Amino acid sequence: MSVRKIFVGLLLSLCLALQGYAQDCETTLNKAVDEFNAGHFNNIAELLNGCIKRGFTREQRERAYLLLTQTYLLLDDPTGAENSYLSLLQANPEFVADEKRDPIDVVYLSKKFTSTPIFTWYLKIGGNTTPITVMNDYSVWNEGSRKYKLTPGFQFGGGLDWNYTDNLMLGAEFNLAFTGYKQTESGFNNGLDIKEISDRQSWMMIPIMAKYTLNSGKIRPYVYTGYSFNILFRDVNTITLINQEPSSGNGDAGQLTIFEDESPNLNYLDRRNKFNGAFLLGGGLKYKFGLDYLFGDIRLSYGMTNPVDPERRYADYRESPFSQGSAMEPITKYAHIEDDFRMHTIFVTVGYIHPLYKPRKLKNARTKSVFRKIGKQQR
Amino acid sequence: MRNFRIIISLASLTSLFALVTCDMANDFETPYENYFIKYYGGDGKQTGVDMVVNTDGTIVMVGNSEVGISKRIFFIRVDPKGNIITQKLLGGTNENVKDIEPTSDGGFVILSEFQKSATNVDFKLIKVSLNGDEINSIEYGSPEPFGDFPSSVTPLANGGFVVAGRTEDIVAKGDPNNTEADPGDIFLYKFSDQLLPIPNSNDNSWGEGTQGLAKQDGAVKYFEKLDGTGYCVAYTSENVAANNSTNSKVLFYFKVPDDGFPAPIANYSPPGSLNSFNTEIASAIELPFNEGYAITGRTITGVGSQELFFCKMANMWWPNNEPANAPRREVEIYTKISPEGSQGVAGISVGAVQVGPRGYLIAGNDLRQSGTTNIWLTKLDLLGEVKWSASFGSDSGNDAAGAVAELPDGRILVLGTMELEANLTRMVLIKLNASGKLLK
Repeated sequence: MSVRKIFVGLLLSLCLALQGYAQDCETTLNKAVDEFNAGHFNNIAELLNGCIKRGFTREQRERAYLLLTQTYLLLDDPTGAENSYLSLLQANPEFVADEKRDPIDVVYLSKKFTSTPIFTWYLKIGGNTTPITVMNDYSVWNEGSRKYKLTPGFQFGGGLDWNYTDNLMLGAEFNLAFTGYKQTESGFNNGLDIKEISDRQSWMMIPIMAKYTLNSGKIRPYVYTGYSFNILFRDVNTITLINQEPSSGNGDAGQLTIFEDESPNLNYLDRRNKFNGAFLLGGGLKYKFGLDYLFGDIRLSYGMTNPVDPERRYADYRESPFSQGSAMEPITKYAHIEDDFRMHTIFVTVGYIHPLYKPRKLKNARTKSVFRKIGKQQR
Repeated sequence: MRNFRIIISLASLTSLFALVTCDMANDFETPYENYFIKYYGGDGKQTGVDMVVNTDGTIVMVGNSEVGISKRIFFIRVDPKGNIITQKLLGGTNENVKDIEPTSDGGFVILSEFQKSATNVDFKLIKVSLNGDEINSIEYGSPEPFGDFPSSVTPLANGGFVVAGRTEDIVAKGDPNNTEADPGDIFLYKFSDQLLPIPNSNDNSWGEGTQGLAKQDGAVKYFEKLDGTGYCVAYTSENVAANNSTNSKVLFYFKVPDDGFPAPIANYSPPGSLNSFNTEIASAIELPFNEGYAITGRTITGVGSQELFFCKMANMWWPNNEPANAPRREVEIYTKISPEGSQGVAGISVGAVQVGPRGYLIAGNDLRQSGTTNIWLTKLDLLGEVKWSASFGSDSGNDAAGAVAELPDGRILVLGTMELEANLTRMVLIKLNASGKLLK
């Protein structure tokens, strides 16, 4: 007999034992319910004690604590009832007392408690693309036109929400985003030449947001707005210059000789404002997944700042005041100069939310409505 | 309701913060208002050679446009932001533009040399309007096979022009010093405002036959005094000073006889050699403050390396009766500039700094260690001390200066040629602040 078989055998035995124990606790729980129904309240706690400590499943524990809560209420032991209800919420943070299902005194008691998570954390990953809006046009040419094109990017990160209420939360995130755009300039010189640039940025993004979410249902929509502090830590630009000359030399565009040169990766970080900001607007759907959520999110990050440092648009005079050399090469080799622009990134992400439930007694119990109902019932 | 109020408050705060931090287009300088780099051209290769800043703020530039085997004059007028107002190709198909000067009628006169035949180079004067429309032109030069290589054109007070340069026609003009070793002499040709040649008292063209010395000589620039007296700055490889070496070139200048007809060399005003030991090749000569010539060019030392030289003469006009061996007291400033890391700079253009502390601007070509040239710009004070320098271009292309000028607001314009990637060579106009930087 191999060791593997022994291990599998032991595992099987353990599972059967646990199942048997759970079945025993189910019997115990049923017996406790019978005792409750029979009005024998005093020995219920003792009866359930053993299984509470080590035998109940989460669902059984929830039922057991609910039974205990009712028992202590009937025994006029508010402390015991509150402790039991708190344990019930620990077993199932999403337990909500139901007036139709549960006794009204349990409903009343439940209003003194909440298990709403104070904090919720989440992780996410997704793709993005970055439309550009130009504030001021710049070119080294007098003719031609420039168009910006979308390119795909990706991002990942996580965040933490502070739940101000069940519906309203304040959140902050830390994301790493890799964005980019392309620009094509054409129609300059003889109308045939083309310049293409491909700019790729790496960002640390720290958004701060206010969120509103619906708090019931399997699928829960939410919306948010906020401001993102974006720190650029890498920016690489590649420029391709394409010169198309009529081969005949007489302006006949029928036959063209094409000269094309592509720059190496040019470091543009020093030409950028490293600290940028964006106005955020977004929303999504949360899908209930056990006590957690899966979510899909779409976000518009509307760039509020110009990433181009105007003082380094042409050259960088900080270190070499007299000779710019390579600092000017985007212009003096590839005829490229940057516009003043804003970057508006659209993010589509999916992620996983884990609420950090914290069952606790409320300082201000919300029991007025229950009081009124109790009053009505008594009348 | 409470949630709603909170949401509205937070959204308002966020929006307010976003608005406060928002960059707007007018937060930035108007593009091209204060500084820029702009390229001009079309098919082929375009160079920038000379420019004129007009009183209306527009800038007229000339260069060459080479497409295939055709090489024409590229004329372009731009506004102060560098936007094109008009651009034209002028002249024939084998031109090499040398100079442009404003004329008294609001237009310009353009000087170019052209290959008249396989063995003969002549020059051409073209009068154009403000927008480059050709008004009149003349082709001029010595008969075959003698080439005439112009350096500059000078508009005269009466509307005429004088073209200065070097001619190979040393025999027929009565040059007493002509020898087989004489590869060229000075020429000065005078034209009316209608571009008609002005004859001299010998019924030759005015200035025709203005000879030089027994070696290669050439006129760089003709200047006209208010009373009509003409002076010429020229170079020669003749031994005009007692201690200059054979085959070096030195600068000198002389008074031009009234009818331009050459006087024997002995009757010339004494030459004012600027530097006796090196070859001085002047590229640009100006009268920046009407106080004396400012000259730049390159000086070639005995070991073959070159340096930019700048020379400022103390007097505007050469005294008539100065003895030939008089001390060179007319030279107020003579300085050579050789920046660190450079293989040598050649001065191409000189201009005056009139706004703020006065001085001189020099644009030149900086030979880099990569073997290519960059545009070099430097400012000197009135004592000839370098105040700042700047370099424009890349290590891979040959970038060349054409002209430099100070604008009325103290900013600086540099015209030149930029060799870009993808086989693109373009005329370039660079507008800088008064410190030579692409900044406000």
